[in-house]
Amino acid sequence: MLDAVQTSWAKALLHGPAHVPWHAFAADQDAIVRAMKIHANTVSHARLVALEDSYTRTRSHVGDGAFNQLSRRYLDGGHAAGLRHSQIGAAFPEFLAETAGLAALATLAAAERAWLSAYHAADAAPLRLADLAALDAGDMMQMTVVRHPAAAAVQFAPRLARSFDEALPADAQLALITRPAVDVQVLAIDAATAALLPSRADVTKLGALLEQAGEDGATAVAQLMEAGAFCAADTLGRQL
Amino acid sequence: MLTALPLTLPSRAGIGLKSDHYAALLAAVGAGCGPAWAEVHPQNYFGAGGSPHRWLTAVADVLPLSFHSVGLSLGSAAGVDGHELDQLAALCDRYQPAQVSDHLSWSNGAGEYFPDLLPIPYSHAALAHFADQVERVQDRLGRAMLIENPSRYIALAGDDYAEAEFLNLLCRRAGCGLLLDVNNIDVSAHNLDGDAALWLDAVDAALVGEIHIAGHARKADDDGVVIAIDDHGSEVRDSCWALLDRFLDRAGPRPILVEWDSNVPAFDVLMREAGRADVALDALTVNA
Repeated sequence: MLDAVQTSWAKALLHGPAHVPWHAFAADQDAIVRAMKIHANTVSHARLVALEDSYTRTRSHVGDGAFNQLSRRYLDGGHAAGLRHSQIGAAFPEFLAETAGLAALATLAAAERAWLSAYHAADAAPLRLADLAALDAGDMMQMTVVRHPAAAAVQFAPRLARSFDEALPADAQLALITRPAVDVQVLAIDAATAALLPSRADVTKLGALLEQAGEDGATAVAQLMEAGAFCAADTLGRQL
Repeated sequence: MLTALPLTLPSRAGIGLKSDHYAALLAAVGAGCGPAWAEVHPQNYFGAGGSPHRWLTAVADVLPLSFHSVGLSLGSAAGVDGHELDQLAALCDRYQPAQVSDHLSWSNGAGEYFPDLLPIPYSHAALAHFADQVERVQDRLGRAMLIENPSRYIALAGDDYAEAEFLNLLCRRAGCGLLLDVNNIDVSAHNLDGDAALWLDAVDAALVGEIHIAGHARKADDDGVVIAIDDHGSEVRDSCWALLDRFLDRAGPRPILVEWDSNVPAFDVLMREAGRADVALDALTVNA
């Protein structure tokens, strides 16, 4: 009984009055519709606000009206179906990418999503160049590193970098997102440097990373390290 | 079943903690003029780390915390949301809040998650189901919790109990306490043509571990019917203050939270409301 009524409630909130479980109420039809509208508006408003809060830069880039229209298309199209409220915007970049003419905007939204993930990522002490100073060359090469929980590389369509972060060069198309301490940081990087960022599952030796980087790549590894992209780990990949 | 009545917050005014107010709150507490406690929605701190936890840790160092959950969905036919419960339990382990609460409502159903507190019928079956879910949460958390009375916009069919009676029975059956939201009583009474004072007088005061007060909006719909909307977006209404005084006169002091979740004002405005709640509590001492 409870299950059937709640299923009808859910359908009515998402799809309108045709699904209202009239028998579940002790009121006239006008009062029922009035109440269902209040609940539907609460749900819709909370979802729209959550999207606005998650994608402030994307919203600023396209303008409030256009962002609201996109948000409604995203929600009404069922792209957020089954997502928890805290994750309501998780599929928004993918939705934009699949929408004709919005592939570029999708890169900005995806970068914002990565920024938000970095903001909430687990705290971890990053491995810094200074931490290596006391090691001899052999120990340094054998040091196990993993990607810092907050670190991510993001790619923009041309001319969108400044919409993401005003401090980026206007022509930047790649950026590193890190959170070595409290605040999220954004740094322009090139493609070769981005390629050196391990995947989340990778556990790698510093020596292997430098070997991958090649003769001229040590500077890129150092750049990533100073930005807070790595953590020292044990051989199982557990952060030290 | 846990039976200890959770009444562990100070019987003074607290405020709902907003990220805009972190620094102002800590400064006020440092200057000796802050609230006696603070309440947060634990769902805002389910992220693993970062700035929110740094602030919350700083606040938890100086004030008792109340965790007011909005996501357990205790009234869902499928039962409490296990994922939310696991995260809430982890957060409780981390911060050891003085109080934990959620709502007499449901939010998940048919594979969807609704950011709203949807009503349940006050039937025998719903009472049994809800009490089981509360017990499940309390067993997981290892502590008693409080359940908040909801705002209602419509009367449901199949009620076997009045709301206050349902809550009294629920608390006794599950061993939980009641988070008495006075504003919600005001909202529901307006929308359902009920008598807020009668509702208030019917609740067992001994079960009440915390009180919420807040503002609400009253808006006319297209037919001119005025509806009370529980938006927590303005100062506490006079009608709510009057109901608070009525309950305090009968029950004695309790922890009182000022909720203000939309159109969030400056910290000083929020503290002014909290100050008024403290005056109401002080009046009890003077009159005792």
